Amino acid sequence: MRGLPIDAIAGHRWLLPMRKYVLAGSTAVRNRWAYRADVAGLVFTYALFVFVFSNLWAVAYAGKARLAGYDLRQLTWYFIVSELVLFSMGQGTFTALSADIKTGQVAYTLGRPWSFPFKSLAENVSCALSLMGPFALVGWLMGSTRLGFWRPSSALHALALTLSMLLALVLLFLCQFLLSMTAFWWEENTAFLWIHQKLALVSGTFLPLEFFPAEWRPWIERTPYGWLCYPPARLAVAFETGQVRRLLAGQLAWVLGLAVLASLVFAAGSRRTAVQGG
Amino acid sequence: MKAYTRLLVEVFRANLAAVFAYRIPSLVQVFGMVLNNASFLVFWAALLRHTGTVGGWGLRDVLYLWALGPSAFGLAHILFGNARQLGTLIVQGDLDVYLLQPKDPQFHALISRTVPAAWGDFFYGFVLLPFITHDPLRMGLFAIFTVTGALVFVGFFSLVQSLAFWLGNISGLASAVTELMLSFTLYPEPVFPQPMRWVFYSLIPAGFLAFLPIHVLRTLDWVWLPVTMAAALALLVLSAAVFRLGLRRYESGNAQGGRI
Repeated sequence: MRGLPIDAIAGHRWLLPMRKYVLAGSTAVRNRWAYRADVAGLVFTYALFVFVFSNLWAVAYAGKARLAGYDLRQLTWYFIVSELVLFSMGQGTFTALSADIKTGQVAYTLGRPWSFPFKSLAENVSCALSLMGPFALVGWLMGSTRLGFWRPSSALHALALTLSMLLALVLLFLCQFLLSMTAFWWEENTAFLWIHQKLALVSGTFLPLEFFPAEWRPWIERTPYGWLCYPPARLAVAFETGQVRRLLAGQLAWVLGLAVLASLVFAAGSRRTAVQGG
Repeated sequence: MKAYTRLLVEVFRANLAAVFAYRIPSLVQVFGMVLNNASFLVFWAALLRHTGTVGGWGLRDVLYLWALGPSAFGLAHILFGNARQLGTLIVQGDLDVYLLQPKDPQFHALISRTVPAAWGDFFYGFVLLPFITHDPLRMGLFAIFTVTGALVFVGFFSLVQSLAFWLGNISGLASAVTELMLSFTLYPEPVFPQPMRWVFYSLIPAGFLAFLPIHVLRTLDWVWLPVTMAAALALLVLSAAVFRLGLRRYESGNAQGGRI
């Protein structure tokens, strides 16, 4: 079992409580990659979206140099990065947790010596990070072929982008975790996922927030949706050091707020679980 | 023909009763789907606000696209809810129950399920329609194209799913092809490069359910109406032929089941 992420923390006693979560994450990654055809299908769908939208932007920019402050190259890379975040997380968190709650499987996991929300976070964010590799490679190849080579302008740019992507993944996880908790109260909750997905697509994934009327933007930023895909994609294509702190702080604030809410909702939901012997 | 219509009506009635047994969850799905589709209009409105048109397509044309595609997709899944499950039925040997009955097994298998969320797709287009046109002629044409579009969806999905007779588990291929069909149906034709547009009238027949009907709705160029109808019919005939050919290779799952 050498070479697993679990080995990396073996010598650090203060990290030992994390051991079970690292193990849960690495197991989830191995399970995810056992279905390679499924991963290939997702990469194909991502490539198809990048293809369709690259063409859409090329047609939309006919005779125009800039739209809402973005040129064609920026908008195409913006889409590649924003979809990269959304595709990497997928909808697995919601689907798996909702199913666990509806089937009663959650009762079985509640008795284990781990925090259920933390274990879910470790599993889902680890999977998302492992999937980000092939998506990023395909997106980067398609974008570079069409628009020319792209790379971060500095080490700070790369660091800010990485942090923002990580926070976006955690935020996406928390949104799906909270939505899946509705299964404690509603038998059919899939419609909530559809609405969430489309809000995420519309609020900063397909288009940067600058495309919307100025008076809409404060409203979008009062929801988590303005902080999911917009910050990493914006940082990727229009890196301004002045903006880094604002974007990262906004993402972090939403992560903390939703984490507290998620633990409260989970506690309320799990009180509704009745465990019977047998 | 009369017997098949009666079967369709009876099975539809039974499917509807099953859906309404879970009234609130079904209604949540229907309204969720309406909101789901409506969100894309926000995207198009935001984009067209800056560009005016995209490849000569204005907001009205895009609205036609986003009304017709979901309505046709919805109708296909309301009446033929197994269109995208046929491959699973074939691979798992679940066709036995349909083979033992006197009606065509493909038709019977296709109509045996309905998708509650598809009602949301179906209604969405008709809710949007009065915001696009008040012309009764165009509204009538929209209804006709919803039916032909649904038949194209059913024919195409059923054709792809029938490949499971030869290829086994085709869930990956089927989902990729579904994504292609939906992506090509929901974006204006000029978005796609000219050299690849033949694909929309052959391998991925999105042109017959979106681009040609919208051309007719925009220009009332009647020549393309019978062409669209003929294409839908041809696709159904082809899918039936492929299914029949594949049926020779079918192996029973030996599973015991019942149908009410």
